[in-house]
Amino acid sequence: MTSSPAHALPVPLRRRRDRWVWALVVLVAVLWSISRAGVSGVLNQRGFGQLSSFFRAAIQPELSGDLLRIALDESITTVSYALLGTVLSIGIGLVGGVFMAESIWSPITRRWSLSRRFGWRSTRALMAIPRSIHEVVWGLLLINVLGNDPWVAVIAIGIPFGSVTAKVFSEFLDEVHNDSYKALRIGGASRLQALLFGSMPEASGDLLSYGFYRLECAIRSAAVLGVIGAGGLGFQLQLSFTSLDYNEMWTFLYALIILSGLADWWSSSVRRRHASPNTQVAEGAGVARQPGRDRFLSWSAISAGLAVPLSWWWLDLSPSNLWSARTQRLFGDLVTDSFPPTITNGFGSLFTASVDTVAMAVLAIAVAFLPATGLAFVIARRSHDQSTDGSASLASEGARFVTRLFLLTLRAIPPPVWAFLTLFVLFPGIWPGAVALGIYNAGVMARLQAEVVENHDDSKGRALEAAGVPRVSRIAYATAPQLAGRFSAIGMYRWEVAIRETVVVGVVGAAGLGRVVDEQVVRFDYDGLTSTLIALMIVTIAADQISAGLRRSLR
Amino acid sequence: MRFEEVTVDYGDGRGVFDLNFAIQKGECVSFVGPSGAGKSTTIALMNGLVLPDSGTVSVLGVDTRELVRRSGASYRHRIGTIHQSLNLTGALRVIHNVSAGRLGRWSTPRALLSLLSPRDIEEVRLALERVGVGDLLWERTDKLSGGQQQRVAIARVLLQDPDLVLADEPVSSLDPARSRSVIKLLVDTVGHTAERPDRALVMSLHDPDLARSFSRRVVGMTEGMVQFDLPPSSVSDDMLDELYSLESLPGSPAEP
Repeated sequence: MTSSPAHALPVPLRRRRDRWVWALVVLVAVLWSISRAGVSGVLNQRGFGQLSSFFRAAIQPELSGDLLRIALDESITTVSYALLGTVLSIGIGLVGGVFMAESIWSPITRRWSLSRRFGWRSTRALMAIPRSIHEVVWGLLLINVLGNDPWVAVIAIGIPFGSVTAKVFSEFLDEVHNDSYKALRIGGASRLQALLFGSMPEASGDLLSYGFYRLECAIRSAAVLGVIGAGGLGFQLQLSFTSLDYNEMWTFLYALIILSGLADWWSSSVRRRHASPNTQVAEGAGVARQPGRDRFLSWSAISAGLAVPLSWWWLDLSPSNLWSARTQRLFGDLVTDSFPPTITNGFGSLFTASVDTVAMAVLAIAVAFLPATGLAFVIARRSHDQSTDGSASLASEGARFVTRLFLLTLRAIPPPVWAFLTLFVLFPGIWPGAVALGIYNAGVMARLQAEVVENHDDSKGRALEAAGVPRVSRIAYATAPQLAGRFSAIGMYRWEVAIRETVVVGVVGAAGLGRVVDEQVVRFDYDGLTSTLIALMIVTIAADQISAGLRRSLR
Repeated sequence: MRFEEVTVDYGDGRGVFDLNFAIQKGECVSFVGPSGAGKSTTIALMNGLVLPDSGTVSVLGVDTRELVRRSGASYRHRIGTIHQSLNLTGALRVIHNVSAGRLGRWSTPRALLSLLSPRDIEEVRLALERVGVGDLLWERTDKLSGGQQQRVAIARVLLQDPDLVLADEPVSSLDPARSRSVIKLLVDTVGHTAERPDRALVMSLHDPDLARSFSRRVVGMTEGMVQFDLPPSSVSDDMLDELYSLESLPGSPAEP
């Protein structure tokens, strides 16, 4: 059979049809969410004055010595929460990751028995529970047991992050070539010994680099936890907001933006250097740099390590508080009050709240997706930008910097604060939560998408550029088809995260399960809370499955 | 060690079929044959990495099906394996990769401690010196050359001090001159030696000349079956030619 390219059949026909089906599903989901949230009578005209005075205060933050002092102290507190929470999560992740790793469950000969497979799968399922509950919910529960104690924030970050880290670390362990683990096992080493000598050394660098990413996330979480009362910058934000002192609020917001920016920079530098340790030296000299000897990486690890005891001292953590008689009694009460689960306002209302949660997350991503995509192209640094005319123009550098700063602001301001603001102009319901999460997620998503743009192979686009095709057509014909899949995958991933985050905006009065959680915590309705948390878990895990399925079909 | 009517069928014409042989203490045996002849499977059957579909393999008096159970760890420790791709841990220093040979005898806390502050440094150094790379003790393993890593893998087995040593294509990635010296090193250090006259060494080799010069018994395999099992002096060039030409006969799966 002669083959001519022009008549060749498009091979992945079936997969493309899959894509159209999924695109239709997404479209229907968005339309359904809009109808669920309602379109008429959601705007509150009277709130615009408040909103504009809030933004006008941005140029006049309160800069008195006392307040700056408070801002500095609370910044250190927030960083300490984040750091100790991350350290706790890495500890949990190390142990949990070992128990979740496929290699530790798999027999030497790779013939799985049913009981082994069941054991492995149920361990993984069990370890998924803590991460399906958002830090804020952990925080709310812990406040009731530990009271006003710095442990609340540290543990509230450590538990769900630890569960995520465990999953990721188990994947690292399984990804490093399994042979050296197997060779040790066949030589008589126990599973744990073989992991220690065979897999861990290779995976530990990845874990360290991932730890810095978690630290960046933990700073944001620590701020959110402050808003619910755990102290730190978030708490001050909440106080200033309640007294409607916007100038004070902006002081704390700027502190948060700086912290968040530093964390972003540190985390992305560590990850970039870890991913390609040879770039600086190998290009010129042709000599591979010694692996694991990057001075920046060593410096980062050492300074993070030194900061741990400092944070401990700053927060004045006392482990005895965890075991005190009062804590034990309150914890016992919490457990006995939580069982058996009851349904406070009937099954129907719980179902409605679950559906609202899903709709809110869908709308949040729908709102965020297009602006984020556009901004991602503005901030993405492409290697050929410089090469076409020697150097990038000052104007485009400036636009890039301003946009980056703007996006940093979007994601540095915690979603509950965005929710306070949207509640000025939107009546309580699905919309204010969706818009608040949308604004925050636009900041996160644009950054992820820009990384995709920076890393994709642009030879086709450049070919068109050489042929004189204008920029927008170039994006439509070359870049967009290449990137659509990856961008959609990021959107799905953020939707999954947004489902969890609905709790965060729920607690300040938006709709969904988050609001129910907040009401039940305030009323000490713990047996009702148990059912709500179970509903939240089911929604989260279902969303994870749907998103994982969709992302697989996009690959 | 004894193979009785052992068959492993991978279903695509590959595998080993109806193997019957025994290897005694202190022997030095080479398996030769073209790629895909089943040499590696035969070696993997000896340490339990592959279990027979039918028949039994018993090693050191134990069925390999028992060997891979938790209770078989003490037996597994008495079998040292040098894998085709070495399977050292690149991110670890040489000393840890060598002392990994001791893991079967160490408790887990001791193993953990040794990663932080190495144990038995002198013994590791001695083992490395015997294979000619005593100065590499503190190097990171992934920085070494292929030949140096080969020696580290041998040193690990030396430290493990097993009763049976298996080497699967130990020189597949080396040039002929270096292959000779590595095989000689293997035979001299982890074969049967004056202090370990009972130790058996089993190798699979692509190059039949190496097998003839260094082992006391040569087993020729093609298509998963033993074609001959003779002392090296009785293996003629004609027999080897035939062994290596069989793979091009019609009916046998073509090598990619």
